[in-house]
Amino acid sequence: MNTKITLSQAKQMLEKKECSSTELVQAFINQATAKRNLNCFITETFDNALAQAAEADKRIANGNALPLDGLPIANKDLYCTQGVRTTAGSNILKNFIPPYESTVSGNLKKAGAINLGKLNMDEFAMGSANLNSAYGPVVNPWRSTSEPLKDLVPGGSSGGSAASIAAGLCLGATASDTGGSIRQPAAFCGITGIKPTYGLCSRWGMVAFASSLDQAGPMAHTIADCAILLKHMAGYDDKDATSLNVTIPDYTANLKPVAKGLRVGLPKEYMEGLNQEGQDLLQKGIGWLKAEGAEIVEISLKMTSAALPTYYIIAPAEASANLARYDGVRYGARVDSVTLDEMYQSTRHDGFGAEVKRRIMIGTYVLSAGYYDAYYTRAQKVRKLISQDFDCAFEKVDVILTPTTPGAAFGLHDRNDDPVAMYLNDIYTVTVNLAELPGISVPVGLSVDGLPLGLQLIGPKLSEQLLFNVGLTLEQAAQFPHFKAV
Amino acid sequence: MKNLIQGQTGQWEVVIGLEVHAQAVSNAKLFSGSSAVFGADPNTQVTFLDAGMPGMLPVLNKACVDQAIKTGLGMHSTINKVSVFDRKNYFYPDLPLGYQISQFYYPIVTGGYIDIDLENEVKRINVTRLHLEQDAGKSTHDLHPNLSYIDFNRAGVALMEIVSEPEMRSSQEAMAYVKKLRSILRYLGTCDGNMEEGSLRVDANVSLHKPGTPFGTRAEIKNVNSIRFLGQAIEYEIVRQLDIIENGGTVVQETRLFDPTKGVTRSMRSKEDAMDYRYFPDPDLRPLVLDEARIEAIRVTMPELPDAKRDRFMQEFLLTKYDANVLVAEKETADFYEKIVGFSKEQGAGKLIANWLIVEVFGAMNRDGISIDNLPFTPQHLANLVDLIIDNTISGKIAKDVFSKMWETGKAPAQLIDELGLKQVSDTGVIEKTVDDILAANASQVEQYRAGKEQVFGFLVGQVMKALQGKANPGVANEILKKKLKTTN
Amino acid sequence: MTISLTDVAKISKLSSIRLSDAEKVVMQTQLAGIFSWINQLTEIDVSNVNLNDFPQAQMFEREDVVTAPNQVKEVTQNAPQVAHDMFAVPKVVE
Repeated sequence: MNTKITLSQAKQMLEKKECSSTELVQAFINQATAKRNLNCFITETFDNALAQAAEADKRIANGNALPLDGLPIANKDLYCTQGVRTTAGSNILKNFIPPYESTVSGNLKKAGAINLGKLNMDEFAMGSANLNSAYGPVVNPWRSTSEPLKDLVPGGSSGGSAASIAAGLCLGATASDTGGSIRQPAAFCGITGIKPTYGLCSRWGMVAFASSLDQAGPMAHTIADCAILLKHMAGYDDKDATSLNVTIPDYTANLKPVAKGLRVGLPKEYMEGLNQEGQDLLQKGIGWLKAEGAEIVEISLKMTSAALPTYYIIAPAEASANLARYDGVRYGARVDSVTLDEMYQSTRHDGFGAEVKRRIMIGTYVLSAGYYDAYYTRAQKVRKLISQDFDCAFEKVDVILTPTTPGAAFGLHDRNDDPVAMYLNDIYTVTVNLAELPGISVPVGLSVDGLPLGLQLIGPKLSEQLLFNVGLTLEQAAQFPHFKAV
Repeated sequence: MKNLIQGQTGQWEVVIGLEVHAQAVSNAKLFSGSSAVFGADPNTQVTFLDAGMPGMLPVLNKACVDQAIKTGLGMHSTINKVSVFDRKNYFYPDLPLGYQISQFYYPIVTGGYIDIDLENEVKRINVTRLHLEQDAGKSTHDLHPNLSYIDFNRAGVALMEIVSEPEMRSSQEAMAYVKKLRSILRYLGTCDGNMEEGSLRVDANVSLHKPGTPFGTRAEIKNVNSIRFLGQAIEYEIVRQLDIIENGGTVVQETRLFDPTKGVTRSMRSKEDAMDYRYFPDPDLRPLVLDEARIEAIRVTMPELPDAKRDRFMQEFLLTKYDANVLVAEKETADFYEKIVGFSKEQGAGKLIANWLIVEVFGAMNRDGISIDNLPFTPQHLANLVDLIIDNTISGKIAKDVFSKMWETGKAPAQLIDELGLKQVSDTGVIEKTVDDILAANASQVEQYRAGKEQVFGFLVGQVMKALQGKANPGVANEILKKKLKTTN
Repeated sequence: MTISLTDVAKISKLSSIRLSDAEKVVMQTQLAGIFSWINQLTEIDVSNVNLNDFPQAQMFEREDVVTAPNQVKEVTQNAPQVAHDMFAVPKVVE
């Protein structure tokens, strides 16, 4: 049995008893084992998964299957999984075994989904190429036609989540998005990923990077897959004071392609500096939507160019405080020292990678006396202007269409030592987190080198159903080769 | 100008500001669901948030908010309808998150005042603000030569930090302020004020200056956990700082700890490397918005506070300010007093009851280590006893004996008087006869008295009382004796 | 506005991350680059933005009920060093 199936297809196969969960899980374990060179998993939980598959099969046979019973998925190593090592891609947590389960991963578990293991990621979710993991980089299963021997990045920070789905190692995965960490790797790996409205999913048990921006979300091959996963991941949690108290709709029941009468916004600032390939992709998308009856409206999001610098003040500031707890006192790695101060300094020096250290320093600096107003307060004000930009735009349009990334996946060894160059990978995605909006990336085409390219749809708060539906329109028109890299 | 300290180079004034950390009474902690009760085994009252574990999030406890509102109302402060929680960032092993969730920019309460009673006046000390914040864990340093041990039971307990304006000018004023604030908190039930257990701690900012000049550099004495130590620490600081300044040095802005065994303060860390706490609004929490209805609902539950109660006691029961202050210092005492008065059937017994409570009852309580909730007699009993004095059934002196017996046996005074036959003799006939007998038996003393030696009166009165086994109404006996001594045979 | 080595040393201390002298130099260069890029924010007019009109989204408050059991084992099980159920650290001198 091969793993060239979507989560929705697998779900149907189990329901129709065309295969057992054990067979399904075994197939994915085999694939995951065969593709260890991609380095998608930090921790594998294959034995456990098979045991759970056996339990699932019993329930399915008895007719009391749980909603996601028997389906093999995997969790980004950002989610604390009870009894299973959780590292957040860092050395400082290399031996941390949480005594609790995060709400999001727990929700999927309760629905019967089977966890194959913890997926590789940029350390503490800081990165956009999965090159910042203490456990080594992840390799994109896609290869360029012009340079087939070249290893490519899967994007980040949810690199392991994206690559594992694209390579057929699991049916779906939990991921997280703070500045684009679901959408950008989804685009690089030719899969679908959605960052929901801020607060839709609980952050309890999710290792925090930037509290006001972090959001959990699913990644999978198709829109229908993501819709199923999000329905179960999301929901109000009274243990998270930023959790939205809203009912989660049955996205699958209401899933249908939509475009007639839809007003689709094209932000002119996103088109500036976009390369030819990106422009062509966008035009394709516009064409598909128009063919189904959508109206294209040019809009202006004038604060766009301010978004990245704003993000790189706010996110590091929050991270500098969120990562202060990693001090070697209560859990995680510790460098034994004579004095307490030495212990802190050495533990954190050795335990954190370069990017994490840089962002903590940035964050500490922008919050420090004399700089707080000039940087942090100012950034918060600009953030408000960015939100207002979108509020105005959504008075004129229903959704906004943009490319997800400036280009396709780049070489793993094309490493650029300029941090800022890396930051620019998130140029189209970061505004969405700042405005607390939902955004989805749909794989719609291949570059001239045969690498995946994605289009992003952005909607107003709580418009996930609309994004799924418009996304479905694009998906159906694009006919993307989902399993090409499996 | 009072409170000036005479130094070698002139007169100095000490400026004191106090930051009081009061643990708010609540079942659970400020942001987590573990118990806030004192004294449990280490790390048994710790949630994963209290241990600063990854992915954990704070959720605000509404009761702690209510306690802050109530305390603000008790200090005549402004309750801010919008307040925000900020992160105060620094590293210390008892701080599990590497930051304390506190309120810096927009505290829940601002302004207010505490009136303190000094010897000859009432001084109003203004309050700057009150804010809510997490308490830290506890470190133990003496169980191992090279290691400190941390217990997080206390980490996350709700603290109300109450900051005063730097308006105190003596250690007495500082002690009076803490005493009064503690009393108010206990009346309100918002903090139990137990300083030994650490539910109330004081940080004192102390500086010296010459009157008319700007305030001097201050040193902060942290975590003083007794009012007496506070006074001692301030006195020591005054001497220490005076010595430095008058010898041409400058006081260093620093944090100091008071060592009660040696009676000195010593430097903890230099506040000059003043920590940059990088306060910013906690993104895990929303702004706290209070509406008038909530504040009102708390306002109506406010008890009568010590000053108001004291004034009422003075008026209603004709007590002196001093006595009234003693009775209202603790709400339980004041309530107990009023209960006794309530049982009394005599008009105006209040003053005498107060006297008995303060002198006899408190005396016995201190002697035997008994607290007001396990007294061996009822309020009714004490009321009866006082009534029996007022209606002349017994004398005040006899009453003391009855009280001792009451304390020992718990029996009612009337019963004890009967059993011991202590009823006072007021029958003038009986007393007259006794006086006659005494005068007849002590003719020389009578001569001496009539000759002008007035001290003899005491001896004669004593003899009368002795003959009547002390049960004579002393007032009546005095009068009769005087009368009879006047008449010349 | 440039970032100096003193700034880097100060931030390194505040964030409790030891940096060797060589690392400080590298960090300074990198941070300088990042900040010169971030500094473009100063060109934006934020004079009309009021951060104090607090949104309606209000604080959710929990009931004052003890919900957590004694979980000393779970709380200490990942500790690098534990004794008497307490977390051990190099001695703190106050």
